[in-house]
Amino acid sequence: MSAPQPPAAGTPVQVKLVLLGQAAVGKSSLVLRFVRNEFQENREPTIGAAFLTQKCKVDDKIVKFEIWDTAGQERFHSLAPMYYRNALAAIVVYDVTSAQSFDKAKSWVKELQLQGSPNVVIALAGNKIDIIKSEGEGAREVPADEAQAYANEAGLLFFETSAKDGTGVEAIFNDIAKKIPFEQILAKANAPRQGVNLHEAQPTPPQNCAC
Amino acid sequence: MADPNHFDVLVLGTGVAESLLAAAYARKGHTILHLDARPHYGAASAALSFHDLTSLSTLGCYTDLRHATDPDHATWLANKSREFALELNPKLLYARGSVVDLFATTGVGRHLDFKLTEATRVHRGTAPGGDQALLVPASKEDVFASKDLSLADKRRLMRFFTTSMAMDAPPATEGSFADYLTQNGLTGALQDVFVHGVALSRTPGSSLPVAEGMARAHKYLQSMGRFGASPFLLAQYGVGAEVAQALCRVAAVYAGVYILGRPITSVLWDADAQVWRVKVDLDPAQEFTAKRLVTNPGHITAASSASVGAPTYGALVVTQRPVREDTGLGIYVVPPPADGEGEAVQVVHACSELKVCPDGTFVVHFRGSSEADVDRAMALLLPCPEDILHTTRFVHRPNAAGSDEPVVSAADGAPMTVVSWPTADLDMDVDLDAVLDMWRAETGLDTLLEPLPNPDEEQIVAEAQQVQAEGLEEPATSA
Repeated sequence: MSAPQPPAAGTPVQVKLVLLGQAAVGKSSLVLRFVRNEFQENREPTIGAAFLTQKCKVDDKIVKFEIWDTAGQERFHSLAPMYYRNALAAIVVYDVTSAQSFDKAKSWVKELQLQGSPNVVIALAGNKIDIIKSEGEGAREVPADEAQAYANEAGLLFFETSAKDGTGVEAIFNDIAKKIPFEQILAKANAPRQGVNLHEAQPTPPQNCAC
Repeated sequence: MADPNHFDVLVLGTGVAESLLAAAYARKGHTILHLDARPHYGAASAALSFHDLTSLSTLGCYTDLRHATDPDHATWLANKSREFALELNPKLLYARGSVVDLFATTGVGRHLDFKLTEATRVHRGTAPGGDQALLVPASKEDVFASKDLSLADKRRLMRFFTTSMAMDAPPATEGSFADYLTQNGLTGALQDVFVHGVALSRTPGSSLPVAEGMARAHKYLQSMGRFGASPFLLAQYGVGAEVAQALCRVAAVYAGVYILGRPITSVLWDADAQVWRVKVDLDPAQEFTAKRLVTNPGHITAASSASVGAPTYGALVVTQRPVREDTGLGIYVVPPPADGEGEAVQVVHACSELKVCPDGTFVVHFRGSSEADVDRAMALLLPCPEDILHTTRFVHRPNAAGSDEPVVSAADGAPMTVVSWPTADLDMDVDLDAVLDMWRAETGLDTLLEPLPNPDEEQIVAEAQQVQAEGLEEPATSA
């Protein structure tokens, strides 16, 4: 094994990011806004994508987010441990017009702190803020200061977002990227006895035996 | 919009076989409802915390669980409970086997963490201790470097390796694998190494047909050197449970609906409406219907179980000292006594690197054809009782049925697929191949899973479209 080397400048650091939150709070919409800059009203729950990727620049480093959506497994609280595993970041989403979704978000934060990686960076996103803009504060069920106070107490990043008009979406991913502990990731990537990547193996016949 | 409570396929149990079919059906566009009354994925292959494992007396095909914990370490183990991911029957993945091929070609394997085993060793003789065990070569270099083999033996072994590798089909020879090896000059210790190590057979060479023995040996030799010297991979956090979760994730991504940890109150075939009716206690109970049922044998009566196989006996040992200090992830085999009857005992040795146990502990899995065989192997490989923190013994009954509520009675004409429990074979491909046969019979298709879209490629396409649409240069964030 060669000595640990710093990655070449411009090599993206891969970061797994998971989404959590009650069904229909707009988790997938946030991702699609961030990754493809698009929004669909009344979209069906996500089909066919195990995860999506998008890059973010922080100073001279590039973070490549590998964004995992719940694929509906949150609906009956049946997310597999694999979902949280190795996630360095998480966005817990609620709907600012639903107090119930905020309660649910708090229970997801607890679950993450129990099941997730020890240093996972968690951001709380109060989504659908566009509804407040168009219908007024009367539509709001979760006051921003209450959510901010909870986020401070629990040590979370906090943003109010709108997947529909794009408010806060870039900001939340950028701020997460800034909080990613790069040194730890790089140290781990250079650790001896790496795991096996099925996709990087050379599909050549075993060389040991080809005489 | 279609009835959201009606599905094409109802799948009971989240074991590897059930999850394979769930993923296969979902990927083909069928709607899936996948249920498991237990709170964890994997059914019989679940990877459990120390507390959860030691609370069980039966888990699917594993019965008669008996737990013995060293009282001095009971509190420590309880505190570390969640650092364990304990599987009763961990399987090996051959580097050139059907599970690895499926995972590599579809992309399902992208999110599993695999480790190579470090060594396979055959423990001959009666002196206790891991240092008595012979290394099974995982490369020609291993053969040359061996201190256990004479020069003449090295030559014979090398010749046999080379001819076996080049062989496209097993030799058309009658008789046993042992006879065939003897004809090729491989006797005594070399024969044990080949039968129980390279071919990884529990059955002695004298009762193993030559075609089967050579097929198994060929697979070992082909798998060497693909990802490293060792032919075997293990997945972190428990092989079966991880494979099952990865497959369930595929089914979920293709719109499968998952409900775990909720009691399933009834499953009935409604002959008039030609649908399965399942009630799940979602507080309140909710009924779903499905055209077809896939289940593991836990939910059926013994009479309708097609699974066969003699019981094997297992032990899972948590110890604070490895069998050998130089090997964390390893395979050991204790062959049948030279003079005696019986089969070999196979041992899978794991350390905390596999994320199945806390640092400083080791999980050693034994399986054999009798309790006495298992005891003998344990005494040889783990000779110091004071190192042992915990032992769980169990019986693996591949034909077990009706272990889980509710038990479904098969009705005439009811569309139903009963998958098998995991077999006692260390090779996980055996389990996958059985599912592939069912899938082929059911659908006429030769492929279980089409490759999944690669998000990176999709991303490139999306970025290209964006560039085209905007008529701009590449987005600034691209590398």
